[in-house]
Amino acid sequence: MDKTIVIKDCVAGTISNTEAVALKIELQNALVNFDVVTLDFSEVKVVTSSFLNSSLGEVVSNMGIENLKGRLNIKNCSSQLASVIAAYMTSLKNVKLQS
Amino acid sequence: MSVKSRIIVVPVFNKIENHVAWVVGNKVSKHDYRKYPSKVIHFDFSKVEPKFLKPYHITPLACLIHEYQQQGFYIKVRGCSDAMHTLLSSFNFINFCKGESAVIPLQKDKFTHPLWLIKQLENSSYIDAVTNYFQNTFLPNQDLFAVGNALGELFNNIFDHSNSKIPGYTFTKFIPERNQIILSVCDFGIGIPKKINTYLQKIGHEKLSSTDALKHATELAVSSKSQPHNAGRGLDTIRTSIKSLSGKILIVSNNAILWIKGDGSEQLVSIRENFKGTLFVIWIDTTHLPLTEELTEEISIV
Repeated sequence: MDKTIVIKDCVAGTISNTEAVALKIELQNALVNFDVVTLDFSEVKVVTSSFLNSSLGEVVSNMGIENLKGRLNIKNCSSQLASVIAAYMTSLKNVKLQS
Repeated sequence: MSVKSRIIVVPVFNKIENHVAWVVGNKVSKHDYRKYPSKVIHFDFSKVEPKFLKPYHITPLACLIHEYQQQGFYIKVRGCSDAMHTLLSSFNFINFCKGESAVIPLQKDKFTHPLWLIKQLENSSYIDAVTNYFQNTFLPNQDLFAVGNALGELFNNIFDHSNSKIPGYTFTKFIPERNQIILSVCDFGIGIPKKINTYLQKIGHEKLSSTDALKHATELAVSSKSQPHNAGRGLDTIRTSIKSLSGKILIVSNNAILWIKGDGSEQLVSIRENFKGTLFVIWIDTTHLPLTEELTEEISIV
């Protein structure tokens, strides 16, 4: 089963660590309960490294990148936003699973 | 009998070093309360023409004034020519000096998002307002991710690392005849080199010079680890993004200046005075901003 998380409906903003916490929780829950999760970035123009660290970064750290292969998608991003997210995820490939 | 109030003359800043020395020398911590018992401070602009007052002089000046206001001083502006008054008003500076900086300012000049006291809870809405305004008004076909991202990273830096007693100030200006967006963010925190050196010494490394520490801070995954979620990507993200657009960056922090020029070259300069805080100025050539394209289809990211 698949699940879509609409970012703008999930978080108050896409700038700070604090704003990312809601996405981290929702994404982590979705990955436990669904096979594939898609993050819908409609109307999101900007993200920061702090926001990515405290959402996607935390989830990768908690669940392990190996356990997410083929299970995490994005859609409705500008090309610049998509490339930033893709580069960020690439940078996490060596992140170790948090014990 | 009236008490003597201090007049701080704003001079022509012909070098960044001179500007830093002037800011440092006029901080509220150096105010002579015996000599000037009045709670009124006059900032005198009669010695400087508008062409010499650059946008990057404005945010440190705002921080300086905020420090005085925080200590209960009243700020008065004097010696302004009509042209200087127009320039300062475009940044909402005159009203700001009257203590009207707490609200999100209305634009007095359609090309400028004026001085704003950075507030953590309003950062996202402020960045949305700035990027939407410039896109809707002047740059309908261009993606302003770089502008919003730089502001977001810099605001996060202030709240996560700077330990600034004041939140800091920002403004953004579009100069159509140069196809340029200028954004400036300044705080009066401890400064990037000092923060990096505190962390390096904590983990048993040797202290770096201010210039080396500033350079070090802008490299990928270098962090002072001052927050649990901090992975040290913020400054590198800005550097990479702005360099890819052939933009320019000026960073002044502690005893160091880092210039990243439009051709990608970088110049580090050591300065005598310790600028306690960080000033960022970013110039983006809007002709290099990518065009807004159709949004992506669904793609896998792992």
